[in-house]
Amino acid sequence: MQASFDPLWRRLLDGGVRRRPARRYLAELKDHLDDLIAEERRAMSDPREAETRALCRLGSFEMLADAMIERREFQTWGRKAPVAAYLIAPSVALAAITVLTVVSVVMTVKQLHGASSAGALPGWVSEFATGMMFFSHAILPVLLAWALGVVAFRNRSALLWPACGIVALSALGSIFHPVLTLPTNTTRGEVSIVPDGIATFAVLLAVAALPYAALLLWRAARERQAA
Amino acid sequence: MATTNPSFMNGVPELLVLRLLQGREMYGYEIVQAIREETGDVVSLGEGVVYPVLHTLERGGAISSERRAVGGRSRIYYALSPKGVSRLTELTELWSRITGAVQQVLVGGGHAGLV
Repeated sequence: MQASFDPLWRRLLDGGVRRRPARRYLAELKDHLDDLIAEERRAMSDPREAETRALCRLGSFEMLADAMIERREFQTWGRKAPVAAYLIAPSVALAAITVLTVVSVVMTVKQLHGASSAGALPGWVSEFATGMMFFSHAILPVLLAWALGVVAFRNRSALLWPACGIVALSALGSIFHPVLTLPTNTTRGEVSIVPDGIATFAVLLAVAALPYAALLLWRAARERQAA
Repeated sequence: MATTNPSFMNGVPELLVLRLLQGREMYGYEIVQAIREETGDVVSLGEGVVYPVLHTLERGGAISSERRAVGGRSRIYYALSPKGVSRLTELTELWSRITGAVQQVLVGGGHAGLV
């Protein structure tokens, strides 16, 4: 029976090693172990003893993990720069996509307003603009928070910075609520930022954090069961 | 005055791997066995720790890897690249300087007469 490399896999991810190099490392270690077992079996008859000796020659999981973890080039950004990866980058992404969304809606409205001889906009424009603004302040932060949570979960990152990132995205979503006032025959259109209350923040935070929290709880239960 | 790399001991596995790959392409298990044989078992470590060294060298462009099916098994063969050849020359010169200096101290060191 061959040894399970699961504890080493978990140790590598806990140490911040990216999944791809970790997967390759484990595959090569398994191949190496097969060669060692074959070599030891040629030298002795007891297969169990041969496997024990082979594992001993391969190195302890602690040593094998440390050899990979100490190499910074194989670490995730979440380990190398957690503030940038989990706090700054998602917040900047939210700001950039929000600005792009607002600009594209404004351009569309301007185009339609200019094309209309009477200056009246088609009926669907109002719904479209409201929907896009809702997307940028409510849907987008939640989607980014979910993505952040999945990445942090897969990389087995420590809780602190992913949690801060999710809180920051929810706060930004509830504070920067863009509202577009459409132009009419007599008035110009405008974009304003109307911060929402604490209730919106709480709802966004609950929805944004839910999958990450559920994944963490599921993993904790699974690992407790395995132990 | 020449500067000494304080972490020169960290470069030993790297030097050995590059030197062995200069002769021919090898996979991990072969490399470790070659290190054991050629150093007369003086250099022996957890065999698995050779892979992070190989992956780092590959990432730095000193070696390249290729997956091949041999005898019904899939193996990753490593080969020295031109960049690896110059890295090997660099490391060999550094190692020769260091061992030469240490040898000089051991054989005819200024403090030997004090004992």
